[in-house]
Amino acid sequence: MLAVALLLPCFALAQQNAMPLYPGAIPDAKPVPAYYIEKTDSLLSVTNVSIPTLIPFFPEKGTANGAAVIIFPGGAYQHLAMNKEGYKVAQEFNKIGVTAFVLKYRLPSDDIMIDKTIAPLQDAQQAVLTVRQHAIEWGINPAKIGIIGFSAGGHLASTEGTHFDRPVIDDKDHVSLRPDFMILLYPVISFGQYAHAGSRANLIGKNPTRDLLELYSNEKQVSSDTPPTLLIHAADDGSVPVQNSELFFDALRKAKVKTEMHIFEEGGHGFGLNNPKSKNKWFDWAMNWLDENGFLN
Amino acid sequence: MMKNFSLSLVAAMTLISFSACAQEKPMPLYPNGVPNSKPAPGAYVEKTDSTHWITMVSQPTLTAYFPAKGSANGTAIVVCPGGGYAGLASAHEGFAIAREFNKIGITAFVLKYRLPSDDIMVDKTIGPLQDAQQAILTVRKHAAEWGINPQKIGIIGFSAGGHLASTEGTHFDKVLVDDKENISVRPDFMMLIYPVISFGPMAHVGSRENLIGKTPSSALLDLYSNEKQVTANTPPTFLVHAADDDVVPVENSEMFFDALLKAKVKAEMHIFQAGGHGFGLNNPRSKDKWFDWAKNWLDENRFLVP
Repeated sequence: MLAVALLLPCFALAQQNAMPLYPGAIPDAKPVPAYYIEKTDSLLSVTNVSIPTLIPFFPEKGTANGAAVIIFPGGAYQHLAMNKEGYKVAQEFNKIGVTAFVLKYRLPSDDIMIDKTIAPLQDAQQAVLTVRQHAIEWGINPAKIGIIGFSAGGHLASTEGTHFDRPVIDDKDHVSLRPDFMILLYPVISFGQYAHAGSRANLIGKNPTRDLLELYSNEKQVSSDTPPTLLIHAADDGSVPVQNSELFFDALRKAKVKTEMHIFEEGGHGFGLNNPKSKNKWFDWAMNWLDENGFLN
Repeated sequence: MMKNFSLSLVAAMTLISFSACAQEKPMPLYPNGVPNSKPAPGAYVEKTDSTHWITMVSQPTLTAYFPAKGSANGTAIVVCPGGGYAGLASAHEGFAIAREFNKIGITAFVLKYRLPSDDIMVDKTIGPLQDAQQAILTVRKHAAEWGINPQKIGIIGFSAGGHLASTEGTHFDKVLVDDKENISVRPDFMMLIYPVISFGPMAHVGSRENLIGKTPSSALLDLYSNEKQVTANTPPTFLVHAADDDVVPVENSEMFFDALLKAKVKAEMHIFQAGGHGFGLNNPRSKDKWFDWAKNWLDENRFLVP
């Protein structure tokens, strides 16, 4: 009860500021059945999203450095951990001068989508497009727009960071959909041997084609144009094997993309902002990494 | 505890004001003669240059660095400097590291190990490992006297010193030194900084050739490819490397990490985006301090509490 009360101000503000992601029609959408109603539980976990939104968090006046980050919460492509992998992270970015946007993306569903395998990516691409289009208005440098994703949100982020050349949205003005940096926390990367089976089944079904498996095994989609990437994982992750981060790291190195990786000894899966099993704060690493790559000045 | 303390007053004062910790004079590693040794030829004379780079070691030593009085927590660490098995970077991968460990209450021992050489060794492939085993054995044997918990004796190695440390941490069941009292030569933890691990395709060729020669047997290659020697009994390991290391590829750390993971040994790994090879205590390309991570890792594994 207390926890919910403490969450409320931020939640209320967030809800109030939420922007519809698409000014016009939502692409790839089918008429939403009556039973498909968005729900939010007491921990601010959201399901049944049919209207994706972007929720902005601006740094305090005078502290913004022009960098922006779009946050993809995790939840196995089945729900969204909007608070611990969303709003809380956004507030932390604000403290270091980075404008943050939490993306409430659609979760793959044959009930509301024509092709469920592309809808989350559409929302991710539209988010980068939106922030870049409004950069001046929002005080953002269009060459400093990054993304961060957690777990399945890390799959979506790494998909967006490797599939930006293949727009699946309406991009008439040819605005670049490439993020300028990626931060991936205990990400789902591969749909091969080390896949998180739930995320894979939710996105591409239980009997996917070989092509779809490859297309969304993002370690196979890395090129020299993939943005610099910071990876954080725990060695004892029992849900998404740490090999997911390692595979992506190896692919980045092979493509000569700048990358850094930290693997905690312990922490399990889904720790969000603070790993209770460690005295290290990964957000400090993220801050230093962003700084070293010129995103904080 | 400080029986052999015999530095000159000036040097002692310098040390105290400098680092608030005390350095013993180097102890011969083997009180009863160096094993596997041949008489050193006249030209084989130990040299130390102005950067504290040491070559031609024939008399290995252990130099103790004690934390300031009252600050020791009972944990000890043996420090193996790197240098491609051709020399020892005894400053930035040796005593500078020892002093940093002293600041967090850990007693440190810098190992001046023999470098593989047919001139002074019967079998050069085992000389450095003998010295590393003897170092752990010595610290464990003298634990009570030196205020050390015999179950909290770790090893840290840099580059080729990381190969030696990871060899010591995976070959402790095969004791190559005189160990009549059956004292365990297993380290309780390992810290490997841009280590040479594998003698396979990702090998640092210089280190490999110096240790096992230019045309090693496949058995020797496997034996000293330490990622292949990991078992469930390998101690918990902390790894640091830079992704842009162009001397010792980062795959060395990754392979060791993967082997540890497979054997269900606790492991942590940090890979800097930039830093190259051989940065020692501080990576100038990063605002992060790996020693802070090391300290937290030791703490999380209960090596910083008495």
